[in-house]
Amino acid sequence: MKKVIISTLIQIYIYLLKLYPRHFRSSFAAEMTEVFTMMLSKADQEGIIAILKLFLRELAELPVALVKTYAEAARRHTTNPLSPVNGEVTRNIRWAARGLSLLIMGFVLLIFLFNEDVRMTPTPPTLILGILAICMIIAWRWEKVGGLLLLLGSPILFLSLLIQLFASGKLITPVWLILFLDMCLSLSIMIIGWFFISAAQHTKMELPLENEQSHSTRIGRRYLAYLLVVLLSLFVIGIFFVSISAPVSVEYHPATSLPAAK
Amino acid sequence: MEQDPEGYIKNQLPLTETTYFIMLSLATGKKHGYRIMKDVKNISDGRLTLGTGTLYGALGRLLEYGWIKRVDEKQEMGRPRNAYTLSDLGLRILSAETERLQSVVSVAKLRLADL
Repeated sequence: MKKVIISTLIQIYIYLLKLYPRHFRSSFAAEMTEVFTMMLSKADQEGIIAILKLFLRELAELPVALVKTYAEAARRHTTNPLSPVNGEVTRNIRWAARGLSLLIMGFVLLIFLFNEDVRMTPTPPTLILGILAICMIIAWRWEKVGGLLLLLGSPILFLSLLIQLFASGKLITPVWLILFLDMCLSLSIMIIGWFFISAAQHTKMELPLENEQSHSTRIGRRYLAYLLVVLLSLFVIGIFFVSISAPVSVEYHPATSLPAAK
Repeated sequence: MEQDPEGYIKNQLPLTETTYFIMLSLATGKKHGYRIMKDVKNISDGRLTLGTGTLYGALGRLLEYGWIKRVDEKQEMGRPRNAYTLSDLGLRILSAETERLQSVVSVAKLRLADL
């Protein structure tokens, strides 16, 4: 009877292993089955209760182990679990994030410079967009913090745009198109944030390089980066405040003899 | 963004309890999965019982980071089976974490002695 139970439990265990990602299974499934069989034969000496306790413990542990394994697999972006984290991949992710953030920052800058309505009446979405542009600059230096701010800010931007749109009641273009554009902008910012966080995570896992630049060069580069971030932030904040505080042109209205704002 | 080895090691601390005990178990030489499991239970006074999912999840991560290596362990009968051993980097990380824990314990002892 005990033999039947043990062989059934092993079969169930082998079946449960199929829940793990493929690359993990190919590396460890055989070994895990072997270890589980050894554990079962040890528990067999202590009786059926020990066998069932062991199996239940494995079952209880399974969800957490699965979540962790899938999270690791998603982070690594590679099918080979034994390969070290690739520095080239990190660089590509980082520069993709930076390139995309430049595009969005340029877009925001253009809106503030050339759209008079936005300048005259800054609404919550435009303010949020301006703040997110500053977060992108922060992410160039502090990838994790900046990326996290972008991830959190993008749904807020989406909702604020949506609320403003329906509150104003000026739906000239089809609703689906506006929703699509709103979603595109928010999703792009979210993706940029996620790229920055991924680049930070990959960097943390990169193996150390022995022959790298000297300590003083690193310190110099670090301070240069700080300076660049501060200057860029001041530049964007300056443009933002100049644009929203631009003087409103006034013209004489003959009918009422009162100056009317244009 | 390359890091110097000391900076890299510092970034990895503190280790989780599971990772620390697995690495500590491998500090005495190469071991296969089942032996690591038993050893971790022993050195943690029976407090930490690893399941296969937790053990191999952790081993997979440690292999990926390059903190441990996979080696073949010859058996008297049958095919050789996989065993694991600490790499140089893993040994340095384990030492750094042990030093960190030691300093925490020293501070705690000093504080408690004042009571």
